[in-house]
Amino acid sequence: MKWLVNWVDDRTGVKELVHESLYENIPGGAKWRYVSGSMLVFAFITQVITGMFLWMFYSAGSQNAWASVYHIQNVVPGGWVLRGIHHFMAQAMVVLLPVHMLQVIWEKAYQKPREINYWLGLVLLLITMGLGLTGYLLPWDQKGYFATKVATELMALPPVLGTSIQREVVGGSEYGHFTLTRFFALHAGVLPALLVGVLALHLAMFRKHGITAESSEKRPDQFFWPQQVLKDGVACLLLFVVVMAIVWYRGGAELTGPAEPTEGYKAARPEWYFLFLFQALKLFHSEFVGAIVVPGLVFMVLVLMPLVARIKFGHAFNVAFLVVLFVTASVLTYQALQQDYYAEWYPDSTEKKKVAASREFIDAKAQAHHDYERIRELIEHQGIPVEGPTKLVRNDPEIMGPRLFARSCASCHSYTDADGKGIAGPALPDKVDGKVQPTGAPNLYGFASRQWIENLLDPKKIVTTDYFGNTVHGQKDEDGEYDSAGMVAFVHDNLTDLSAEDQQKLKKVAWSLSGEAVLIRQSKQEAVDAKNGVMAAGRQLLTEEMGCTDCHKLGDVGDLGAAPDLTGYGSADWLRGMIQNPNHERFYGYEEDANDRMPAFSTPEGQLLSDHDIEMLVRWLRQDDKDLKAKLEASKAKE
Amino acid sequence: MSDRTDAQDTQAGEPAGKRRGFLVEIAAIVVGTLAGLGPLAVGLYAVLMEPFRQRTVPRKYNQATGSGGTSEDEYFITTIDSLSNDGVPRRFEVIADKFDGWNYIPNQPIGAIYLSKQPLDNDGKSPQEWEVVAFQTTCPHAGCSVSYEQSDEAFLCPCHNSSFNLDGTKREQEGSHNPSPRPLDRLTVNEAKLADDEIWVEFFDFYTGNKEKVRKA
Repeated sequence: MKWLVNWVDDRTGVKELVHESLYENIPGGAKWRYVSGSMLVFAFITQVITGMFLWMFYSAGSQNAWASVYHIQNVVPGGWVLRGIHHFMAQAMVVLLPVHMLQVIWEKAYQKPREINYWLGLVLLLITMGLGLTGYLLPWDQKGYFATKVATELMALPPVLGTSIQREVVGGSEYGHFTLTRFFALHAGVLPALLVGVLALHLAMFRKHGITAESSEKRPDQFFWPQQVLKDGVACLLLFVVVMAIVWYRGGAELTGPAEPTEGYKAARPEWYFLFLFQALKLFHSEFVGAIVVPGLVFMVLVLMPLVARIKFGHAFNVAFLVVLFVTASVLTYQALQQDYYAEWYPDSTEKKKVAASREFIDAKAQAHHDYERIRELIEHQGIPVEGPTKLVRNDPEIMGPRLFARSCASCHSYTDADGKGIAGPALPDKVDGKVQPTGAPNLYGFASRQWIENLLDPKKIVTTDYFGNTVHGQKDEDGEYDSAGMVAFVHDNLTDLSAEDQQKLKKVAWSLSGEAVLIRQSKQEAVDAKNGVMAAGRQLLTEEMGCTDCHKLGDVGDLGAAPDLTGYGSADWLRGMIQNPNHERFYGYEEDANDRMPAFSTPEGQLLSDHDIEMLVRWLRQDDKDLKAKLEASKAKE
Repeated sequence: MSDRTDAQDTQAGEPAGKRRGFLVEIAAIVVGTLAGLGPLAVGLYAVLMEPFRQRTVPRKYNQATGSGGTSEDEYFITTIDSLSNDGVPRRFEVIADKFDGWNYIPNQPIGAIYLSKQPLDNDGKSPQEWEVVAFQTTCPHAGCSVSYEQSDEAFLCPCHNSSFNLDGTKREQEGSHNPSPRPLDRLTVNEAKLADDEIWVEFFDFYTGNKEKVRKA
């Protein structure tokens, strides 16, 4: 054994190397407070290791990036832990850096002859922040995309070169593949290489000058090995345990839905350690000042600290400056969080504007999580297509439906469940001269379902804003009467104070009509009711006793020309036709002003909504895709 | 080398093989730098020039006459009847062909705009009582995406609290600071096409954070 060691040592000089690195003298002996530097090195090494493994799964590019991170997060065994460690260890680095820096300033370890090493430390700080910034974009999720976009927008601010810098960083005029390839190359190649180089210099210079401590009588000097190494090791292990605990507790790092450049994201925030810069942007009148001049000046002061220390009270100034800086950053961070979570922190607050702004943030965040869960369901259902996750999103009624509804339908219709949750319609009608001006249209939540039609046929409910209460059909004329040929008058005249038996009949009518919609979620119950004759009975009541077909057409019974067609009422085909052109004779075309205010969304003359958009709306309103398993079962049952 | 020079060198205190020559030193530095800079220069050239490269539309799509508008950046958005008369803005996606790195993707959303009909204060000179107003959805402050809030009747930015009135001007609210350096970026609506009830808008992005509205190339 000894022979082997000597053989190697003769050829490499390894003994001296080991001796030099381990037997560094520590004046005054090993101390716990010397561990921060080693912890930072350990954190960086952890990032290199976990980063390389993540690299084995990651694929830069706007179709692949999110998909590959999703895969790491949800499919790769232990992938979420790997990504979690990388994510939270990065945060640990950002926490440890200022601690290390404060120590250096406090112990006067930045003063002569250690100025250059202090400056190297500042360079390391910048590189670490660069790693944080570039890493945040790589998952290409909503959060990372929009937060990073703010940062790159700011890069265009400096005069003359700004716009070119921005173009170089983004890799073109817009975000895309090349933004990711560049950020990834910086994050995994350029910046870590720089960091290793500067760190090597930093350590070499640290060794040259030794620890900034005096030998004391009380405590003898010690070598780095093994006392200090043990302390460092314990601290690093502790750090790792804490990071693992956070990973475990948080369920790994957050991933939001895939980036949708034209959709926007109302909860776009940078990583928490950049929040103070984010908040500072709200304060300054000029962005150039807020984003570049002020941070630049602060950094200049940091750079000049070793020189300032040479004048009288210079060191005291430096310490004070750092304290003020950290307190300011903390206050700004707190303010940013407070503004975002105001509605949650102060549920009883009367500050409407603050609550509203905070609600928007909280809701957007909740919506993003909701969308993410939905995308996860879609991926489990059909996998990620080669065109990328955006294709899943754009073709999913559950995600696109509400967006399209909010944009194109909610100026009249609402879509709210029994608890009032969902998409609110227009504000309630104003009373002008004691008369209600209709401003809305029916609530389409559960449209054409059994419950929806049962309520429509209820004299009390049909005049509420959920049905015709907010339309011309629900308005009384000057004599206090509803339009005698209208649905409201029919329901009021014929369906008020029904006997229990008649109520049962009415239910059957509603169920039979709802059957026209062929809703997947009612299919099981409808199959049962078809067997026991309820559906047929309802159909008979519809066309005979109830007299629905006196006005409406249903299948072969009745004629068009007095009321909308009930054939296939609420079915995909019916809804599509209704949205395309409500003025068609099948719908409200029977009379000049029968259609209250609904526009035709797609006619040969013009399209307000594309066929694809209408398809999304129709399937969402029918809740066809809400339960993907049920949909699959239904389509199998059909075959 | 001869014995004589050897002796001379030894006298000067340095062995002949170790004599430094100024020219040799210069040459070593230049050659070494060149060798090192070569690969760096080629790499930097590729990376720095690429973002400024002229994008060529694939032949198949080049046949079509661009966006169909009067200028290259003019796009059909919607028809006039999709806008309500009460002046409430609606958000529309701008659909166009797009480059993304090595991909060419036809008919992609490339951005979003807000359209609304705003009443015209023209003393009844024009037969039209309103005009169609188009705004970029990108906030001129830091590039987040503004959204219209009915309850405030304003465009609000979710990032740094910028807010804008329906006509795009900055809204100054008591107790909150509006950091935007300029009004919301207005886009040009083609008047001629408007006569045919079609809304065509000249769409592009602007640099954010400046007082002036500067178009991104």
